[in-house]
Amino acid sequence: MAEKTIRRVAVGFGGDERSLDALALGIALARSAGARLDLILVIRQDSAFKQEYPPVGSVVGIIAEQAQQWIAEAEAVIPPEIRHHSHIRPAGSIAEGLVSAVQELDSDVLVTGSGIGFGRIMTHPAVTALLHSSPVPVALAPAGYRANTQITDVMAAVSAAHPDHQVTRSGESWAGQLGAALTFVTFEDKESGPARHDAGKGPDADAGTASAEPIKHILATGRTLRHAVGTVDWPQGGILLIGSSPLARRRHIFLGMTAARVLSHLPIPMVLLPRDPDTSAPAAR
Amino acid sequence: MREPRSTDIQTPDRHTHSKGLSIGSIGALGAVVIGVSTIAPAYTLSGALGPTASAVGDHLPAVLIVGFIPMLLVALGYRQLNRAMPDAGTTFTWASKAFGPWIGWMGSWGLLAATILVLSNLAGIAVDFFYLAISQITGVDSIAELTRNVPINVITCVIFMAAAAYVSYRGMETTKTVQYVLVSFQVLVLLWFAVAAFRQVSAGSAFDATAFSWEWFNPFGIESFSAFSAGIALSVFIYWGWDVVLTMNEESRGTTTTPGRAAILTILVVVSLYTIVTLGALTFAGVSDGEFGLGNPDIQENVFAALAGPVMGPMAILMSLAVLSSSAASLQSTMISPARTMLAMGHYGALNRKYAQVSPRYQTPAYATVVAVVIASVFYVVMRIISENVLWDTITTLGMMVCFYYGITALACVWYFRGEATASAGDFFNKLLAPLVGGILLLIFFFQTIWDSMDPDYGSGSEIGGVGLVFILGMLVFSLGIAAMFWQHHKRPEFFRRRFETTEFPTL
Repeated sequence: MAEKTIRRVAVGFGGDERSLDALALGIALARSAGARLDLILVIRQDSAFKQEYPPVGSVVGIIAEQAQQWIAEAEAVIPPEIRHHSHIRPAGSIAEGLVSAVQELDSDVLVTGSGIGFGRIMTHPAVTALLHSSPVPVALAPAGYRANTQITDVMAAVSAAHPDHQVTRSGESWAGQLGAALTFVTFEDKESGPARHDAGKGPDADAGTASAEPIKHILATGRTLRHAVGTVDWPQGGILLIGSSPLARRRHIFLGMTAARVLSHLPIPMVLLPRDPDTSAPAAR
Repeated sequence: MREPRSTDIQTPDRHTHSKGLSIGSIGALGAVVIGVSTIAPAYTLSGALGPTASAVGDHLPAVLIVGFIPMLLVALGYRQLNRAMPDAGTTFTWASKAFGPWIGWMGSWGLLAATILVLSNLAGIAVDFFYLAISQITGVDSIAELTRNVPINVITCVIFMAAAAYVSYRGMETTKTVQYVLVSFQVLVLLWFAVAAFRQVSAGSAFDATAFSWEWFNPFGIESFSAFSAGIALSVFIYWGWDVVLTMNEESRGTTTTPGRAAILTILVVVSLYTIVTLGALTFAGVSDGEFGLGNPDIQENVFAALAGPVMGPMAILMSLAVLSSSAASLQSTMISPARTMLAMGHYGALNRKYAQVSPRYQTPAYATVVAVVIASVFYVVMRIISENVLWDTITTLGMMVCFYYGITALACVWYFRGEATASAGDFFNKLLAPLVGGILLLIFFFQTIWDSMDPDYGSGSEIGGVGLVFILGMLVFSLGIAAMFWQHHKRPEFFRRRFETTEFPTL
């Protein structure tokens, strides 16, 4: 398999409402994949070029103490059967700290809150930065997401033009590991022209998925992407996998235009996948 | 099998510390840029040159050079305390530790009052230059006059402060590049101003060409000790900010020379800049009370607003932009300080726990930030309504407050290190002699200024019932402080009862 197995789920945690959404999604993913959960709280340190005046000394200690409380509250929510570990670490920015943490911990997916799902993407600069630089898949929990015990459905967004995209393979791999049903979704808006894709001939995938039935393929069309997203009956326990823009550096993620527009109206979590190291090569089986 | 539940707290690399980047990795130039940016020379000169000229006349250069000495002596002690107790609180923590909670509380109150005063002054100067810049760009002179319209002035000022508070709450940062650009711009424009002034003097087109005299540099030529104290108190404000270079983190790549070198470089840059600009202004305008004279009370509280036009001609717009950007940047960096001071006080139980609240989303002291900006805004609005010289009066009171809390801090240093100050000659000088002399000097200037400010003619001449407004303001600040302290003692007696100890924070 070219796809990595999900062994370590990292949650970027901050003690706010959106962080609770992220924690809920992290728990659901870790439970479904049988993975270990890492809570990461990054404490931002001032750069030397941000000098307060008159000098007050370092407030990092006070914030770290507060952070321990937030972490303790979060740990109280995690069900006992899920292995977990918490990390508080300093960094120049939240995104920078999360990226270095997931690299060091060898995490397979990074979960953050986002406030998505109500026609807007949250404005937190850390999330924006992550969506354009993370080296591992980033899972965004919509606002108000609360733990559904299991991930029941993996929806993979595949493009009509490139049916053999890496998302196809990743979808199979994720569905297999999470024990969830796989569905392909193709978004099309009228503005980008008529669909050239025949929904009946979706990417074939039969090896190793949870379901023996042929994979469902939904063609979501609408006047705009927003309407297209609205036509789909998103399952409660679903997550949507979506690929990075071709602008992404290899092995990094970069939120594309379509993904961004889908994201802002999506009621279920979205997982943005990094660009495959060699997208042209066929999947190694 | 369960992992251990304990939270893993990562210790950063040796060279990252409280400020993320250490001075060693910034380099001397970066440190100078930070120092100059904190001093904000364009704003400071515009706000303080007039009041200082009013106190000491043409001995401005003398006061600017001599005024630096007590500042330097105190800063040496500050640096020692910062090494010993680097966690949040500074004056509050240090004075509480050395002299107990009561003096610590009042010292901190002095610092808070100074920051609130400077916030309102910064925003006030920014408002003047905001409308001046718009009028210079559009060529409509009447726009510059909008700043004299009290409701418009007050609303604009409150908007500026709210914006600064929002930036501070969001924890946004000025990047290195922006900082370098802003500082270079300020320095260039100020030099331009000085050169343009000298050229007009030699071309005979200056307003009141005054021949240069070495007597300007003679501090003993100042008419009275009162005038001298007033001048020094103001020059303490003028250099306020420089000491940031000394307190920056030093543990870095084995270098111990960089902070010292950066501090000396910053001093040289700032003192030369101040001297050149002051000489330019003096030779061009003199100290008479004529239209553009530095002795004219109408222009004294914001001299560049009045002088930039006649000196620089159409390029005066650059001066407006320099002062505007410098006060906007300072507004932002000053907003953080009272909020974090109150955060530390809340943490140690000297204020309500609410002040210790940290916003989880931005990791900033949200409650304390709001309180700071509301107090500063209310203060500005009241002052703008009762005084016509609000900027001048706040600067004078500010000088007084800085002398007070610096004095307390310096003496806290002496007392805290009294046991170990005799270990070596260097320790004796840095931990005892320098802060002792500096602290006593500043407290002398503090008391002298209080005494003199009772005179209704003091400073800008604002008065209420025959008593100088600066004196009333100063007394009001201290009585409010004492009242607030007793209120805290009533509500939260534990802080005042136990011996003050700094918290052992999780090491990050």
